[in-house]
Amino acid sequence: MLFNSFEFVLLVLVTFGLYYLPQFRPAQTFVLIAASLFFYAFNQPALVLLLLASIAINAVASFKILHASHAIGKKSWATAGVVSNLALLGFYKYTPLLAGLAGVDRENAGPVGQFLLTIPLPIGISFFTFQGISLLIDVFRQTDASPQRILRRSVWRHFVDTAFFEAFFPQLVAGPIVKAHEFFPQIRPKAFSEIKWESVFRALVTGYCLKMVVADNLKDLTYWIAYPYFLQASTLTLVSMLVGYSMQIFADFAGYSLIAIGLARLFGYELIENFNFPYIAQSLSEFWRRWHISLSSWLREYLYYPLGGNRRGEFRTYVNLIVVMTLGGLWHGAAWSYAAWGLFHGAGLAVERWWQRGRNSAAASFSPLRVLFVFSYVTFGWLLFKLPNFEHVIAFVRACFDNTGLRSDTRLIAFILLYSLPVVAYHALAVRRARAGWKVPVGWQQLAYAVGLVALLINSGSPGAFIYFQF
Amino acid sequence: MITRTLLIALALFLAYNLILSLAPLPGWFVTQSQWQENIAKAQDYLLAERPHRCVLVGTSLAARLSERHLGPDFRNVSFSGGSPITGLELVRRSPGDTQVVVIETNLFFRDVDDAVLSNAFRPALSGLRSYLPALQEKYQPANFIAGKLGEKLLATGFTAASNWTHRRDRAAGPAVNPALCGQLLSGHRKTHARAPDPALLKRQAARLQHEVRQLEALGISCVFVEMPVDRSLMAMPLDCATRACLMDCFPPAQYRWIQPREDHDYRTTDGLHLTGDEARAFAAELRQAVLPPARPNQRS
Repeated sequence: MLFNSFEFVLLVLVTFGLYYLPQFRPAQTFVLIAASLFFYAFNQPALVLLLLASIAINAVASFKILHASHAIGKKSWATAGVVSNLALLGFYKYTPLLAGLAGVDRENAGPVGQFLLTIPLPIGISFFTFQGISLLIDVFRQTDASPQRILRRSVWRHFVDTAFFEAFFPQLVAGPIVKAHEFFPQIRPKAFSEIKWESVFRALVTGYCLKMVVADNLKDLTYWIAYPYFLQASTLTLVSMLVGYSMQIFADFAGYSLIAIGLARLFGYELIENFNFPYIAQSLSEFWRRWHISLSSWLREYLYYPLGGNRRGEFRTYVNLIVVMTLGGLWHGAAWSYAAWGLFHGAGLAVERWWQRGRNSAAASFSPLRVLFVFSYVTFGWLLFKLPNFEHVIAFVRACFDNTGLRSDTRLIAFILLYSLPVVAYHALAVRRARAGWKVPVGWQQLAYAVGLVALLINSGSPGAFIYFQF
Repeated sequence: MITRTLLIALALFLAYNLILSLAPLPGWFVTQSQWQENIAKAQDYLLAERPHRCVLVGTSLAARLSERHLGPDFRNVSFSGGSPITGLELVRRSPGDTQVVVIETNLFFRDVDDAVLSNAFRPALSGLRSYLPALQEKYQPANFIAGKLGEKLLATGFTAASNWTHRRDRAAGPAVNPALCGQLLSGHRKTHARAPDPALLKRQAARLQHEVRQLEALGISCVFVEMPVDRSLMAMPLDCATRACLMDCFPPAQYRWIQPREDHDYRTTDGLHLTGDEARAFAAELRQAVLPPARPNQRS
């Protein structure tokens, strides 16, 4: 169910209406759970069972962790829960990749091989399993006196809260990845009068504009970064398309995150900001503090720090960075190109850290050159996302060097520039705001949002699934 | 803030519609992608008066034939990346004064493009488009801004200005790059070396038969045209299987078939799509072959 589909709008309206009815106030959580399960089941009804299984595993394991009388018991339940989550993720997401590695071929495979190669990828599995793992580890780490106490004493109530936490539809299929200690304390009845309408409006309009006007239009233009179409494009056209893809993936994902944040606010819940103007980053480490913040903070908290972080010497820090980023790449998809993308970023972070040894790491002033370098590095990395086949990546790079004499597609380049402008302006405003404390005058804000609404109505691109739905 | 924003949005929307109604500026709006071009083409077909006696339906191969060269009696509703069946559905649901439909056969087995049809025939919206032109795909503001931007600003830095002015009819076609053409042709030879799944051919042929019967019930006759491609592809399994399947369903004894000339090596840009000159010439041939004499009182 796409966020810009008629069915989804209807679902939100019906859920919203029921949610704030006085009669439903004691059952608000149930209303949202029902809506979330319906949302998930809409395209893949059978896989709702998988979501329910994940909820059951995490609810039971987290409850057992809290009530285990010994540390060994706590650790056992935590380990079993985490392993179960990873097993689910591994089975549904990585079995085809592993089967292919083991030499199972689609054409020659027997029934078992065919089954292994064609296991369906449940939408959102990467997100809700990570949330489940977050719950288990947060509960394992907390103490009774902790202000982050997140579980209720009643088994049934805890199960309901866990179901809500994992399945909450705004963030179910593409994040932001919510951490248990951030979300559980918010679970309580909400009142209609508490809705921050202006904040909801801004998030939804910005989110839908980024998705439907910017990303969906750029999608049709960057389509030609596909083999063999890019072979006949000029160097400038190829570079423009790659930059356009960089804008597209930001607009698509940041747009989705803003829509999720706006929708959650409609029901009284705050989700973590997932993007903080990442393309103004002046270093790769800064980029990863601004891009997909929920994933990078999850990886930092639950993987990087347990591996030792930067506390076990320089060499081990570089290794940790590379391992975490490579695994983070694989999280995106069961293909070696995603691992390569992760490795690309991990290596970049390691080299950057090595380079900054003994240097003052805080940027003295804003440097457009540094911003450009980081943007170029990140944009090149997106090629591995767009072209999963390494041979095609090499062919694309070769075409960039070989096709300097070909005629450029000025129409394509003009449209890419036009649709990239909102992303550039979005980031430029952030820079200005950060440096001068300047705010856009209210009148101009209203005009901008009005233009956005009109653009939504008359300048949207062809509907397409969010890129991150495939993860 | 929200109320004021909504009011400003409404004012902007109405103002844009007024501008388009008063000064539509034909030629100043250029579509930005193949998908949008297809949507705009379908919407244009429905919104415009349809006095055309002949409609050509097909894929990007037939889309290469410009209406300018086909003549005023021809309307080309071929969808790049699409299927001739999409065009047939469009004509069937809104035939106008059509007497003949010319069907490209090369890639008939492609699936119908439901997204184009559902956009074109969307309830309420399709009716509103004639009153609120801003809702038409071709009038997206970006099509004007980037259109003018590309023509005025970027073309000063590139030598592609002539490519831009010919953009509205693709008969000009891109320049042929022999090395690239060879590379692409080699790729097409691999694709055409395998015949389509017989079940797919059978299913799509049945669909095509259904569409043709429905058009014939409306008094519209159907002519089949095999678009010329590189000679080396014409004898490949895909082309042979496609041709055989359709000739079996629509025998030449009962249906008019127009096929590429055997005495001519058609030049293409990539093995499949005709060059500008070839497209111009073939469009003229098609017009000569298809156009029936005009019936008296043909406009209703």
